Amino acid sequence: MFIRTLISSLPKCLAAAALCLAAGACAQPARDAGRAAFWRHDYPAAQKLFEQNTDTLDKDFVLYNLETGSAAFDGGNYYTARIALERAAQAMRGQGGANRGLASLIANESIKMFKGDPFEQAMANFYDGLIYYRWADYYNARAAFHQALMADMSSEEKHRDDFAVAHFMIAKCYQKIDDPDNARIHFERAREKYPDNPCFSDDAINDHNVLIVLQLGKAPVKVQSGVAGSIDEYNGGYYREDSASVSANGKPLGASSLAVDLLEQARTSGRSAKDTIQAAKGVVKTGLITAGAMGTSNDSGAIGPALLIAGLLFPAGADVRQWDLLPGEIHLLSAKLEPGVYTFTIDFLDNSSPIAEMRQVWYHVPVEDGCDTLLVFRSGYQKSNGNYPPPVSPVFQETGATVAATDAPETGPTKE
Amino acid sequence: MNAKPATLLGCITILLAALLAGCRSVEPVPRTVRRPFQAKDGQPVKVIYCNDYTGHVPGSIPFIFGGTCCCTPTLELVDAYHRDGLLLEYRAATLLGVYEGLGIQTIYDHRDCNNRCKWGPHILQGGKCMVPPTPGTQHYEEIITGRFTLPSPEPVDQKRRK
Repeated sequence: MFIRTLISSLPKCLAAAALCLAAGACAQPARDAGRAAFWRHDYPAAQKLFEQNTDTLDKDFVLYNLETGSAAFDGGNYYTARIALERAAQAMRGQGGANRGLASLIANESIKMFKGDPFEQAMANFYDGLIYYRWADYYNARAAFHQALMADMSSEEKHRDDFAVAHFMIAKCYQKIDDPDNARIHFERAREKYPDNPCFSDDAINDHNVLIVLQLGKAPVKVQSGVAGSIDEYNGGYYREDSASVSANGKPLGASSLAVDLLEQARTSGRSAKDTIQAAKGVVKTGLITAGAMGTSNDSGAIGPALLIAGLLFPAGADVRQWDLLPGEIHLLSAKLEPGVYTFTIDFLDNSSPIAEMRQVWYHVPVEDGCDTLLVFRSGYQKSNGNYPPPVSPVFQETGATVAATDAPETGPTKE
Repeated sequence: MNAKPATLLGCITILLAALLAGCRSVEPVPRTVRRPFQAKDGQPVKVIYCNDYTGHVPGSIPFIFGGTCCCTPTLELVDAYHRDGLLLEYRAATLLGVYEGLGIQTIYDHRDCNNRCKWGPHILQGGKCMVPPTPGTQHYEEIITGRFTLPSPEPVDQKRRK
């Protein structure tokens, strides 16, 4: 029955594979250029390049939208980020790509529609929730954070429901919509995972009005392993920073605390039936190669070389596509600040020592009156360059507009 | 059963057509040339172009009237103009009407786009978006200081295609 279904859907699968091949090949140059722009912190350029593919309905549709979402989110364009991330999240939850999934059982695994691992699904929803929270839309924020938890539910049994930052943000949403009982339940769940995180303490929950979300490092790297590279596993991304210290107008607010380790989330995503099939494919490939090699050495005619070639061509390699623009860790820091405009200085730390080229200073950041202020920063080398922007914009030189832009910093109190 | 060879033929035709059509070329994105890295100091830059986040700079008039104020028109803002003896004939609604008449988008229309929306770039950069940029980004500091590199204009043939 299964074989018959497979054969009957072969033409559809081939058509899908052909379209994927053609569309994927076209999308790749823009993605590579976009990724290069992203890592040099040129988020507008990265977004522009990634956006070229967001409407391409192929196997990487989700990935295109996640990449656009990342570039827009880290570039402060939450308007576009929300649209791209919601499209990706919907496609991740949906049932699309069934034919491609079926074809991937016998062909290369990477021809199936990319839907991401549970932690990637959780992060897409988490970012979405942060945007809604920033807009004080607490009902939609809560729904998005719940989706993040739902995605995490497909992890290994003892690691289900350990996406602490989502629990914390759900609790904050409940707090805002005046539902203290539910807020307490989710705060407790967050504390179960990270009992020492000061952001989860009662004082911080009740008094603090500024929440800083810090994204550190680079995403875990998905690699092929197992027999004939048929299984995927995650290695840690390379980065130095392990925490961050933040000050506002020169006043230290403290060091950040870990709220989600994405490597841990990735490694506890759990195994599914597709991993069993992949492992079987790996064994078949190795078996064919071994049998082919033995047949060739025994001079058994054409069977040996045929088996060897079949084994070498058999597509058993694991699919290592991933959302590689994610950070490695999410840290939180909360504080109580009077409403006003502040200069935030962020030092990313390597073993408690600041990394000089990662220092970020952001001027005139408002802390609003009457509502929580949510700030999101991401680590990176040379991201906050004191030698940029240029002294005077060319447009003002041409028009001679009366702009008194000076290089000299303003003196006097920084709080306005 | 006759349909299968035809479907297979269709697949091969699609693949050949896609390969022959080739890929759309990636438009070169001008790379931002940055001077060598130097960490910023803790002294904030001077706000030239005020917005909702920086707070209104007293004495400034709206950018559309040749000034440096990019704040969203509100009753409080118009009161501040009046206190400075500016725009005495304007009320918040009339000022907002002027922005709408010019097709300029404000925070009443959308928010947090960092001026990368379809109405962008920022009005300072020749666009139609006056939504305050996102604090804590390079773009925000460029806009409030008026020190930026203008986004490169789109090629003429690309504009026609739209």
